[in-house]
Amino acid sequence: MKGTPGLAVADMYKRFGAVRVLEGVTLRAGRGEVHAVLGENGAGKSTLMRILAGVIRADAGQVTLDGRPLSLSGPRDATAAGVRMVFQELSTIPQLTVAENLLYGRERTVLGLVRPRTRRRAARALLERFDLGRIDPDVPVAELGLGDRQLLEVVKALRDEPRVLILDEATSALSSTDSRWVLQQGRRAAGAGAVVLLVTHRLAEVREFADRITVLRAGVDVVSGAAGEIDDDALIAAMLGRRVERLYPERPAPGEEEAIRVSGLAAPGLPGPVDLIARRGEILGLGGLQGQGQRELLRALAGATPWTSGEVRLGGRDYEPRSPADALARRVAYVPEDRQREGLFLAQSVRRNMTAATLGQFVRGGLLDRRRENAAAREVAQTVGVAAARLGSRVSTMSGGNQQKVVLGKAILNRPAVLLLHDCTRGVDVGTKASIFALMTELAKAGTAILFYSSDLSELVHMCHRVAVVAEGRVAGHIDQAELSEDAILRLAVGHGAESKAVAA
Amino acid sequence: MTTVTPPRIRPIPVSLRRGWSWSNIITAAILGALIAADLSIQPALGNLVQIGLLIETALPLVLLAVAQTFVVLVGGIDLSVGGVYVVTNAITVTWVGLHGGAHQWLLVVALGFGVAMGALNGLLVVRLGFQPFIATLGTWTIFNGIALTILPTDGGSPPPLLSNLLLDQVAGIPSSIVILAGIVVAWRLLRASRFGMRMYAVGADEERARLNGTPVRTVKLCVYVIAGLCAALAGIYAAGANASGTPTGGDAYILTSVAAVVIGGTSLRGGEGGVGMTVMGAMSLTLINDIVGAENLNTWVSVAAASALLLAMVIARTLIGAALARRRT
Repeated sequence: MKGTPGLAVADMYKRFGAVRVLEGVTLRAGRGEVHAVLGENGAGKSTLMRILAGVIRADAGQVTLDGRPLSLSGPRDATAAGVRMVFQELSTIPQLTVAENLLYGRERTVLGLVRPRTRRRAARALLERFDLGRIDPDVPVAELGLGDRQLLEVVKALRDEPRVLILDEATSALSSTDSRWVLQQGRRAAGAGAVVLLVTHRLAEVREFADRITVLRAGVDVVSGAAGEIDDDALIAAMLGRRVERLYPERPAPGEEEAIRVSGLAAPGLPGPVDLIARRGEILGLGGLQGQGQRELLRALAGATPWTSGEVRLGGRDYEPRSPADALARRVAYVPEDRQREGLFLAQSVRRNMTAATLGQFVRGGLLDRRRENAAAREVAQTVGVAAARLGSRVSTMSGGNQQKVVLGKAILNRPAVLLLHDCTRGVDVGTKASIFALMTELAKAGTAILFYSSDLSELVHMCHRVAVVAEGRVAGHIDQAELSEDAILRLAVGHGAESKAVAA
Repeated sequence: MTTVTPPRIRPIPVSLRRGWSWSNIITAAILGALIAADLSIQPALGNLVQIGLLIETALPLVLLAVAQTFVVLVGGIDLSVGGVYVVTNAITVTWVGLHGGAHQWLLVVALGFGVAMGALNGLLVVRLGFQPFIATLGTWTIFNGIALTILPTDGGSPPPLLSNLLLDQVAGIPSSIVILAGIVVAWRLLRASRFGMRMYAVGADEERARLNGTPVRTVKLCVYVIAGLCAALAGIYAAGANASGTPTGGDAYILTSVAAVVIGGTSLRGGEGGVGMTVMGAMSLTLINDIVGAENLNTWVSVAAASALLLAMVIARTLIGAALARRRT
């Protein structure tokens, strides 16, 4: 079966506003083949997959399956053509039960009515076919764990023998056992003649399961070939380009003075206890797998959610913020993960976004002193590298990278004592990344302690003085700069002897 | 072999299991308490004819609240149900009822108006992307205007056959009870259909529903049409039962229909709840009026009691939600 036409993508273009995500991607994957699609965050992998699944539309380009062109104007088209995607963000509907979700749109009806008993039986048979008999078909999906929900996504996608199966980081939130299960299902689907596209950051998975590889960089396919012919170094070089040396600045030596000390902290979603110390001028990484409590830790320190136990000292004094305003008053600034939803007022000007958190200090006699506000915004715009001419434009008109600079500008306007960064480099282009890193080093040099969480482990390795690895809501251990490597972080993250040598691109 | 525990996400606190959730139990308990109260004040109510009469007064509200439930289930709101109600009410006592009911077939026109008005709401929301609140705020007023054009003042007369039918008995059971049972059965059937599933999916999360291949716009449009049809039935029923029409009687029903939905436990965020419980909510509101009337109390008591019930329901659900969340962690 290998070598027959299968899926072909030609000259695919896509832009979101001013951001060009795909710039002429070409991809060929044969039937019966597991084809890994690799690339940095923001290289366009997910966009390409979402186009193939009909979730978004391409601006230009053709997709053919077995030589016949596919028109993909909606998820229904893709489904009709036999394309199934396992969604990273989960497409099951929490309010419906497992059975209702699994057979959604495929219910057998009698006189237009669904027979619950028939549906339950069909769902149970389906679950058992995939060795998931332990899941109760009558439970609402909301009551399942995230892992089981991800497995259900896979079952749903495989339900009716897809011709194209897309696994878009389907394993990133799973335990190693569950990950293997998902990948084996992919392998099995390929064995049955499907085209399987595998998007992952873990090279070990690629090595074990992929037949061919295509690497995307900045919206273009840069390398493509049989998995056996490309070694890891070549893959990484292809993913990063040659920019890696210029991306990360030198790390200035941290100070001695303690900036923040966290002892025995626990918060909702963060079982704890978390203990850590960051000195002035130190960049302390928060490592580990995604969703191990890093978000909750940062939010608690930012005053966004109250903590349940533990104490924090900030510059030697007690610190227990009741709200983000309290945190800001103590000069603790937070850059949230979702900049559009939590970090910005999209319909407001760049200027107002930058001063939003500190607006009170520009008030004179109850009125806003616009001249002083403008001066402060202008100064910080220069620091983060936003053109002064754009201060008056709406944030929604800016590219993702520039939006992120605005969020950072807001956070540093008051020279924070502690800066909490939650994945502030995700989905931004390499140029912006470089300037964010330069800015971080500048701030550290000036004495700010930075708690830096990134889903991209290489950033932690190259930016941090120390990394605290968070696993299951606790600090599993610290790694000093001298011993820092992605491998070391992952080893701690999965508890000592990591059996898979995972490399995050 | 080491395994990494996948990140835990906390379950949504309020129980989502169908059937007798806490929310449903509260709704049923409220109705039960009100029935008991009413019976202790007026013991004579405990027979089929009296129950039939009570349901007769309740039915317009029940039907309008059912209309509202559909829209709320997909995450919208329909302020124009009262408008559809008065238009069809006016048509029934004028065109349909003229000449002693010589043109009874025009009842189909009244229903057609309901469907058209529902479709207009749906198109405004689905095609033009208006907020349901704004779209139906506009059409509400327009529909009221249409009703006043057809029937300028209270009066008119429905076809006698309609009144007879609605006020009669079927095999010894008052028509109103049969109709109420019919509503519940129709809902159960719809709920069990593929369309029913889609409605819940759209209400829960439109994007997820879309990813699952649901024609989201069509489902929403259908829901507004169904709401229009239910509201039209309410208008026709009221015309028949009262043997007269009113072009201004709709406004009072708009917020009460929402209240009945909330007391019934349907979430205003969509995706949770159902018509069965709304019927109980509407019956509860009717019982309050009945008790207030029997005790010869001021009308404000009725309004205050209804509001108190609404608040009690919301508070009880919040508290139970919090308690369940605490128990699970």
